[in-house]
Amino acid sequence: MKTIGDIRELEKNEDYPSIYELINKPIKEKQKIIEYMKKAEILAVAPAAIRDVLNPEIRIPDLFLMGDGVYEWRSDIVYYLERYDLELPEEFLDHVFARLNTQNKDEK
Amino acid sequence: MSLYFKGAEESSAIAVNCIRSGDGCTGANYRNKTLTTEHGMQLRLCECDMGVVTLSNEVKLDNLRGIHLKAGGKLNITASGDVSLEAPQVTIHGEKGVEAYEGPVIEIDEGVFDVDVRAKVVLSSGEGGVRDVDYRGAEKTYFPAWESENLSDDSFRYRDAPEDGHYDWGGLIGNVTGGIAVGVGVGLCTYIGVGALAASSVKVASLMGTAGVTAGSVGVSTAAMATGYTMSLAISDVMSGRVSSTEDYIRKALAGSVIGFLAGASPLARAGMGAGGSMAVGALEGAAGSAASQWIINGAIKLDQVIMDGAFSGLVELGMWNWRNAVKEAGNSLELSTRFLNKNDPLWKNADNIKPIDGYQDIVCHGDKFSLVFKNADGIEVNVSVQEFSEILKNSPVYEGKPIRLISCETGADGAISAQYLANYLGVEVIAPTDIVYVYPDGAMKIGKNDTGYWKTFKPKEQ
Repeated sequence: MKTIGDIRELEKNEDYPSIYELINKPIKEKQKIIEYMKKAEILAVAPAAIRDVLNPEIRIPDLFLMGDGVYEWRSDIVYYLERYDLELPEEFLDHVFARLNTQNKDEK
Repeated sequence: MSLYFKGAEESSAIAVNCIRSGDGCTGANYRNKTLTTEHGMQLRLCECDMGVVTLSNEVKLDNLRGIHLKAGGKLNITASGDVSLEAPQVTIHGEKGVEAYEGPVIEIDEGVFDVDVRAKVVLSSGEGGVRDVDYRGAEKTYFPAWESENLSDDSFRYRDAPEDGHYDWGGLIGNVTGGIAVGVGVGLCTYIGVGALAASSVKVASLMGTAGVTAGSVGVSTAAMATGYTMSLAISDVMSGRVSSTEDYIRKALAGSVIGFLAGASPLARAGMGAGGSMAVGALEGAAGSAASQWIINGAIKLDQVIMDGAFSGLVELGMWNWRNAVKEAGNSLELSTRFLNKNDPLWKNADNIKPIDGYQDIVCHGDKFSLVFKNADGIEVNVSVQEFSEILKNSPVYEGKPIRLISCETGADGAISAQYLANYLGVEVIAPTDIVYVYPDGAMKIGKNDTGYWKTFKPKEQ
């Protein structure tokens, strides 16, 4: 599976972009994306005690590895998207909208 | 002594024969005047008593002892008005039992009386199928009218028995509601109190986590048992056709809440204990619950009941220990490794499937580079320093003293202190993940989102 959310502060890897470069990038239909990512499957659970790297006094309660069969991501990515408008790859957004459209057609 | 009447007048009487005097002569005391017939019937006018005495019966008015009635056969007291007994204490002895009748007295033969019985209460030893009646204490037994289950006729009722169709449902519902409210209130206070205790003390939180006890479980146990006790009294009331007092209901609910609290909290006392220890804790729990509930309900404690309840509770706990042990041995071997999580944690199920590795004991706990976190089922998180965690683990009944695989995120990362400190403190090798460790439902683990991490080994160092 492809991964999204490779962020220097989260993965402790200098090769990845810093979260400061990725925040405050609003996207269209953000709420739909958030809802989609939250409803995805929990692939694995981490015995972690994590904090908001931008506001370390804030605890993020759980950390999961989530996925939809094509992409996988850390659950705290959704938190950063929701709170700080974290930038996500265009390719992933297109994928989500395509999935959502398919779901809408199936429902009709 | 004899009297001889030589004429019709009483004044003509003279004493004849002998008048006895001197020591050893019965009735020689002139102060004790008796008139006795040849059949043994005696009228007495004596120094301290007067009365009538026959061969088998006595009626004496005794200045020293009071009034004395003695009957060789039956003793009947009849009155057209009421008969009342008034004394500081009235004692009725009945060697074969005591019976009280309600109904008019009728004379069935000359001098022979009986009761036209409408109702009857028997206080007896139970022989012949007669039921015991014990009116002492809060527990009461009520009987319907004698030999009649037909309560439609008012003459076959006790005066204070409720009439058909007039049961005080409102009173019952009010009392039940009150009892349940008391139970829920006590349960809530327990929940808050235990939760506050857990939040304020890492050791208590750790012990609770190890024993699988939460503030919620203790609170629910307290409220549930109080409700159960309240409902048992309500059912008893409905079956007997009466409604106990509100005070009775509140006492019952409080007694239930004590039992519930002990049941909810007792796993703390028996955590890690063997069969004997568990049985002892169970016996103590049962005895304490019995004593407390008796005192709350009756205001007194029967020691024999306390001992019986304690023994029964101890045996039940022994059975439960065997059952828990059997379940554990049947395949829940990872229970020890997951003690520092709670069962509502999403990680709990996945951690159960982690495959152990030879020579290491798995310890699973939420953590980061510098500390570990206990999360209990009530959502309360307690940050624990590695020093505190090391101490808790060392004293925990779940730790087997083996090298440790510390399944806790980033505890082996660069700059992390947890794994090395734990190795030094316990004197064993510790392996820990260098990054976030993800645990999959089948127990497989991946370190780092992109699987770039590894298990780093920390050997104990001299401090």
